[in-house]
Amino acid sequence: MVQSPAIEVVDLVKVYGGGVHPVPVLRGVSFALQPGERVALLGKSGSGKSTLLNLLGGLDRPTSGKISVAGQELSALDPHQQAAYRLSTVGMIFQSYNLIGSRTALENVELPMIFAGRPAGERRETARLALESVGLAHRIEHRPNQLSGGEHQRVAIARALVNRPTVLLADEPTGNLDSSTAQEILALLSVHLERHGTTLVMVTHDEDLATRAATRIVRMQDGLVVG
Amino acid sequence: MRFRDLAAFALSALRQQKVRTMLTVIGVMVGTFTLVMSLSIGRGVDHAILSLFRDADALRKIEVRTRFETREEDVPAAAKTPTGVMSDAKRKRLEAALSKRFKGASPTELAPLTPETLLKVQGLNHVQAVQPSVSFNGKAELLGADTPEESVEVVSATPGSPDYRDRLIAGGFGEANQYNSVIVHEYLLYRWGFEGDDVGAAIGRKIRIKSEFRRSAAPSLLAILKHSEAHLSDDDLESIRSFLTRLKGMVPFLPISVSERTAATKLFQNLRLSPPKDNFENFEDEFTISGVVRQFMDGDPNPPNPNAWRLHHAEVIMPPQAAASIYLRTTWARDHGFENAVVTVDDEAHVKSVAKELEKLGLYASSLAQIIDTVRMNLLLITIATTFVAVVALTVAALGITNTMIMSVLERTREIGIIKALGARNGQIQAIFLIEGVLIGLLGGLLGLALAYLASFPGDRIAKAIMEPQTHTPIPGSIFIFPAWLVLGAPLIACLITTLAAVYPARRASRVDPITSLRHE
Repeated sequence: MVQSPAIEVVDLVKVYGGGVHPVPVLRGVSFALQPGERVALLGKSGSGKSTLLNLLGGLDRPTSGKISVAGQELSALDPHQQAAYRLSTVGMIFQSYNLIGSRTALENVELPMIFAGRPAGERRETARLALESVGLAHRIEHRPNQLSGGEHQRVAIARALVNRPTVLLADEPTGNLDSSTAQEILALLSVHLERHGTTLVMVTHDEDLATRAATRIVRMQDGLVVG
Repeated sequence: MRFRDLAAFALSALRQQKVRTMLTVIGVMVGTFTLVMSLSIGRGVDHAILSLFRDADALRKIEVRTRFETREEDVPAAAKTPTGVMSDAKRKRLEAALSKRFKGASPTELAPLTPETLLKVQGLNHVQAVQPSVSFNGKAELLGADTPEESVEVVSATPGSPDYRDRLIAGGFGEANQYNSVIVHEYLLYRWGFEGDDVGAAIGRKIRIKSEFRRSAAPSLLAILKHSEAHLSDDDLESIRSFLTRLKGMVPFLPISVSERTAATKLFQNLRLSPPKDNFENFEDEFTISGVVRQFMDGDPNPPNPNAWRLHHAEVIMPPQAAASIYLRTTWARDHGFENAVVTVDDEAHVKSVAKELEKLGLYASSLAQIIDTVRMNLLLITIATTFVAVVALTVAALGITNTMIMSVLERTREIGIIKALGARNGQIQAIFLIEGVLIGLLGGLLGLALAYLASFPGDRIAKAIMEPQTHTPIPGSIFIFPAWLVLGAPLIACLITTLAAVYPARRASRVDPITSLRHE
C-alpha cells in the first residue's frame, strides 16, 4: 500500500511586493515528504527556506502552486479553517522561542489548548505532563524571564506538540543555544517525534546539525530546491 | 474557545497594565458619575415638585377669574375702518392696528363670576367643586365684653383646607352649623384680652362682624349721556362725581391748548364735588368662634394653592358659604360676581381639558398644573443638557480608551502574532479586545454609579439647603432618585460606549500579521 505523503509541495511560487518591483522568493519549489520523515531545509539567508516554512505553517499564502499537508490543500482553506489548521495540524518552534513573557511555562503550554476549546482542568494536566516530558517538571510556574535559553526552547517544544500535530515546523530551533544545549534539544525533539510519528521540517543553515538531526536534506538556493 | 478563557485573556491583559487600566477606568467612572448624577437629580427634582404639589392637592385646582377681553366680532366696523385711499395690504394692516387699539381701550368683561356662572362651572365634566374666594375688610366686636371694635380682614376658606389647618391651635370648623362659625387669629384674641396660652377659652364666644362695601361706579360717561337728566340714579351721580374728580386732577396733563387749559382749570375751581351720603352698603352678622389659628411664621408649610397667601394675614377665617352670602348682598357683587374662584377637578389628568372649557365660558383660568408643566419642561431641557455633557464626558473617556488600546495593540503585536501562529482566529483576537472594552466599561460604570449613590447623600443635603428656603416647605424624600432603569442602564451605557471604543483597536489587533510580528526581536 502506498502511503499518502505527509507534505506535498508542487511548483510553489511566492512573490513579495507585487507591482513595479516584485521580489520572487520561491520560484517553483516541489517536493513530497512521507509521514515521520525528518527533513532539514538547508540554505543561506535569503534562499527562501523561512518563507517556505511560513507557507507550510499556514501563516502565509502562496502566489501560485499547491501545498498539501496531511491531505489538506492549504490554498483552499478560508481564514477560519487556516486557523484550525495551525491549531491542530502543525506545531511551530522558533529560533527566538516566542513564549509570552507575562505567562508562566504552564500557561504558555496551555495556550494552543485554550484556542482548541479544551476545558481548564484537562489542559492544565496535559500541559503539566507535556512540561514533565521535556524535563521541566520543576519549572512549570516560572515565567520565561526566569528560564534559561534551553529551558525556553523546551517549553516551546512542549507547546508545539501539545495538540499532537502531524507536522512540526522548526525555524532554526537551536540557533540561539550553545552546542551542548543544542544537542540536548535535538535529542529531546527526536524522542518526541519518534514517539508520535510526527513529520519534521526544520530550517537551518548549519550543515552539521542538518546531517545529525534529519533523515533527509533539502537544499535551497535563490528560491529553488537544488538537491 | 470558551468565553471564560477569552475573558481571562482580557483580564490578564488589563492586569498587566495596572496604572493604565486604572486611569481609563477612572475616565469612565467620572463620565458615568456625571451621567447618573444628572439623570438622578433630574428625576428627583421632578418627583419632589410633583409630590410637593400633589400633597397639597394643588395640582387638581384651577383658579378662575373674570376675563376682560373684546372679541373681534364685538369691534364695531366703524372703529376699525381706516379712511383715505391706500393699497389693500396697507388697509389690512391698519385694520388690524385699529382693531387692536379699540380692544385695548375698551375691554369687556366676558363672563362675570356671578353665582350663575359658578353654577355653569359646577356643571362641567370632571369638576368636583367650585369655591369662590371672598375677602373683605370689616370691623369685629366681641359680644358680651367691654373691648373695642377691631379692624379685621375676613377671608373665606374651605373647612379643613391645608391652607390654614396646620396653624390651628384650638378648635376648627365643626361639621355642624358651619354657616355661623368663624376661626379667629390669636392676635385678634390678644387684642381682646386673651393674653394667656389658653386661647381655647374663646371658643363658643360670639362676635359681630360689620362690613362696608363701597358702591359701584359706572365707568363710562357715555352711560350718563344716554340717560336723560331727570333719570339719573344715585349710582349715575356717583359715577359723574368720580369721573369729574379724576378729570380735575388730570387737567394740567391733558394734551390741550393753553387757553383750553385755563378754561378747564377755572371750570373745576368752581365745581364742588362732595360724595353722596349713601355711598356705602353696610352689613352685619353674628358669628361664633369655633377655632383659633396662630401667627404664620417663616418656615411654616406654605401650600402652593391659589389664595393661600391671603389666609396668612386674615384675622377672621370664614366658611365660603357665609363669606359669599355677605359678599353677594352688595350691588357690585351681584353685577360683577366674585373676584376669583377655585375649581377643583377630579383628576390631575383632566385639568387641561377643564381649563379649556372654562376659557370657553369666557373665564380666565390658571392652574398650577399648567405652570408646573412649564417648569417640568424646563427641568427636562436642563436634564437633557446636563446628560448631553455627561455623554460628552463619556465619549472623551471612550476616545482615551481607543487611544490606550491602540497603544496596547502595538505593544502586544508580538503576543498577538504568537497566539495567531498557535491557531487563534481573528474573531477570537477581536473578542479579547472587545471584552477588555466591556470590562473597563463595566468596572468604570459600576464605580461611577456607586460614587454617584454615595455623593447623593451630601448632595441631597446641599440641594435641600438651597431649595427649602425658597419653597418654605420641607421636601419629602431625597432629591436624588435612582430608579431601576438608571441603576441598570448607566453601567450598560458605559459598557456600550467603551465597547464601541474598543472596536477599532480590536479590528487592528485581528489584522496583525503573524509573520511580521514574529520576525522582530
